[in-house]
Amino acid sequence: MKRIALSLSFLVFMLGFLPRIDAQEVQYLGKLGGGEGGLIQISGKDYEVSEGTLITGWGTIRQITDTHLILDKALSEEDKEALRFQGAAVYDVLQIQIPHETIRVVPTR
Amino acid sequence: MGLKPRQVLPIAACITWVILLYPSHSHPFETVSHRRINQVASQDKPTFDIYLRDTLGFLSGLYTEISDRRGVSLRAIDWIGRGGEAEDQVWFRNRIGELLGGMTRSRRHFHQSLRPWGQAGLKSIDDSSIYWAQDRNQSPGRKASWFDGRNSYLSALLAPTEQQRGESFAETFQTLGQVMHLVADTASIPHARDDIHVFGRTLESFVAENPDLIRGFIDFDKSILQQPTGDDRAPVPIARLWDTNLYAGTNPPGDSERQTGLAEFTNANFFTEDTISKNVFENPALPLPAINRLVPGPIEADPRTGKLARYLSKNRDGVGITHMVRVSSLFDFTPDVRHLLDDRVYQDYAGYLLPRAVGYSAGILDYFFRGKIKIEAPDRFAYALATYQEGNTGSFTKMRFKVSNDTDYPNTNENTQGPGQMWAVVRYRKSLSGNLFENPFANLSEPYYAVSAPRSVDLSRGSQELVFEFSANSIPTNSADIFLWVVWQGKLGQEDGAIMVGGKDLLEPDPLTFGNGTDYDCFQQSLYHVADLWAFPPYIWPTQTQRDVTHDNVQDLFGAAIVNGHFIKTYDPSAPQVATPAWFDFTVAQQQAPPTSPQYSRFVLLQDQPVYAFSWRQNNSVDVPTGIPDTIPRNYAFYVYGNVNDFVVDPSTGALTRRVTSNMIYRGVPTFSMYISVVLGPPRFTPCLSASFLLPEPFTRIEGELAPE
Repeated sequence: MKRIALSLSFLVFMLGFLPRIDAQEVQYLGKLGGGEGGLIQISGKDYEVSEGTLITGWGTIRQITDTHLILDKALSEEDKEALRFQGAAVYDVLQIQIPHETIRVVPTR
Repeated sequence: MGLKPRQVLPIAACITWVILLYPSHSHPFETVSHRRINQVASQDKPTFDIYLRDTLGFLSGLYTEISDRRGVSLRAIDWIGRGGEAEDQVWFRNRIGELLGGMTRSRRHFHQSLRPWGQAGLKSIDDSSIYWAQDRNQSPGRKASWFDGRNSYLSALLAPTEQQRGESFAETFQTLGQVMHLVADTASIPHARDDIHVFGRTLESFVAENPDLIRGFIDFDKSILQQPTGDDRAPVPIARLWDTNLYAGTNPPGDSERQTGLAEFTNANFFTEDTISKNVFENPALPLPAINRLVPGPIEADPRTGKLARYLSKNRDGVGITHMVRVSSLFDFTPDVRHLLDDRVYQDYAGYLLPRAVGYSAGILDYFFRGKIKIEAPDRFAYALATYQEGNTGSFTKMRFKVSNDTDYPNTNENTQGPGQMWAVVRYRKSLSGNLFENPFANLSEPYYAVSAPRSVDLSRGSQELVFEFSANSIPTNSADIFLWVVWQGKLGQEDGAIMVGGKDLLEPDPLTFGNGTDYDCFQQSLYHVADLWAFPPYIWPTQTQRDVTHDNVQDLFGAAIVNGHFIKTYDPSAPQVATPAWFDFTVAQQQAPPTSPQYSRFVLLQDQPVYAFSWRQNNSVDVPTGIPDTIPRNYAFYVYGNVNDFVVDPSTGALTRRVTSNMIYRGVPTFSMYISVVLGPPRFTPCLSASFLLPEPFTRIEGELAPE
């Protein structure tokens, strides 16, 4: 148990220092069997994550469901000011919903 | 330059005359009390807040900030509260005048229910509030009749810009607040008993000092709102909130009576200091209540002075009231016993009147917003379809959906009478920086509104499928935060010019994307570019064996293929449909998989489900290396997660949250999901799926056609 916690905290530490990532670089590979955690892929590498895991540039994992990984990222006052400056709609939190299984294939024969 | 005494006297006399003859703002409920009554009435019906959120699309419901045309920003509930204040005010040279309002508008805030409506106003000189509420030409001051509320509501619903929409909604809520003021004033005893008593302590000043008394909610029998009035000057049945003509002077309504108007209830049961009758029926204008029908009540200390006071109680003739009047003396044998109203009396009166002021005022909101239209997906499932244009520059020019009358207030018998005008309105936000399919996180604009061409519709309880034309005001496919309304104006129940609204939050434009990925075959977890016939010519043993990877004299690699006759049919997963050449949303004649660039197609749809499905029919395929056809039509079905890119308020934190479905890029195609034909299907190709994302040959889009509308 302690080892799992340690490895999870290490993962959080590692993910916390990831540079800002473009949307297409993160894929949600689904929930981990029987657990609350999920599996994500960033730039071809797989990571186990759980609710509360912080991914820099993306936010904190709010919820892991069978269909989506949901992250929340609170905007700073500077972020909001920048939106105002651009004449854009201003909000408090960006919630990113990453769907699972976005590529599906069918046979031709 | 000072005035001489002989000049001052006439002026003073005039002012005194004006004050005495015309009631001022001190007379009805104080404006602060009206504001609170309106706010409590708005809040105590959670259905109203839900309606604002779910049907009108107000993110924070009653607490949504709205700006009027002067730039004043208030929450919806505060605009309604402001209406409560404004009905007693008249703007003069940019200043609010309550005295001026009191001398003008407030004169029309009376209704003596025992007189005919045409004479029920102040001293039978001014119009009754029952007419004033439906007077399209109110003057002076702001026009704030029921019909003005209807006009601004329609303007709000059909406004092309966020600013105009906000301005018209601010107008609407304030106007409704002003009409609610008139209803609440019928719980003000002087207003219901035609008493212009000005000086001294009143129930109204007592309530102003004790605003916490404004609570509770006593409703009325909603069937009164289905009674025709038969009066051209007050044709809308909201008049019944004032007066149902049930109380005739001898049958005062009791506490459980719900079918009388509030003015009748107030008139029949309570005194003002100037309308205390000694004997029942002594005053034909105000036959009840009367001192001689009261019984000795408690002797208690005056709450203000501490002196002992004797009260008379009412235990018949309507509601029972412990402290009906205070007697000026502790002893009956004292000559010239007077009867007074003190705070203990007002406390008892308030217990009956204020919950009714709240409940009947809320009836204005309920009746105003009663017209509900149910919106449902059309038989074909998608509300709108559009071909994809390069750069996501296309647009939706038609919306198709089902509508039906879903009105449940005053009850489900409230039906439309004949056809009315109907519009569809779509709210959307534009991307401020490019294609939302490529970058769904792009900053979004403030809302835009697309309004369809109007059409005549006979709206019934049964659903009917309609098409709305947006050609002159199309909805970009490169948009987000989509909300659909349908607006109808016509006769509903007893009301001409009623407005009905349906609202539905749709998901964002979704690019349904499918392609031919047979240019690569996946064998033993490795990808082979089989479309390259130089590298992988047709398998001919023993001269051409490049497709035998394991060198066991068995062909291992297959493809590419040309797939002909694609038909896509979207549907609700709870009602599966099958794509056929006669029933589809989108069709593509052929998708090839040449060595330089395989082909894909897409169209864009609007739909209302978080998860929807589609059926994909492929008529036939041809194996490119051999030219052998496979003529068996195949159908596949998939679930699709709806595209989300909108704004919601997090109920737990109150934070305004932008929800965005992230996208991906598959072989050069930015998309939210993608469906691909591959050689021999999932078991063979899945191990290579991750690696296939970055294959060097990007997909190229091939056009298709939408089904005819």
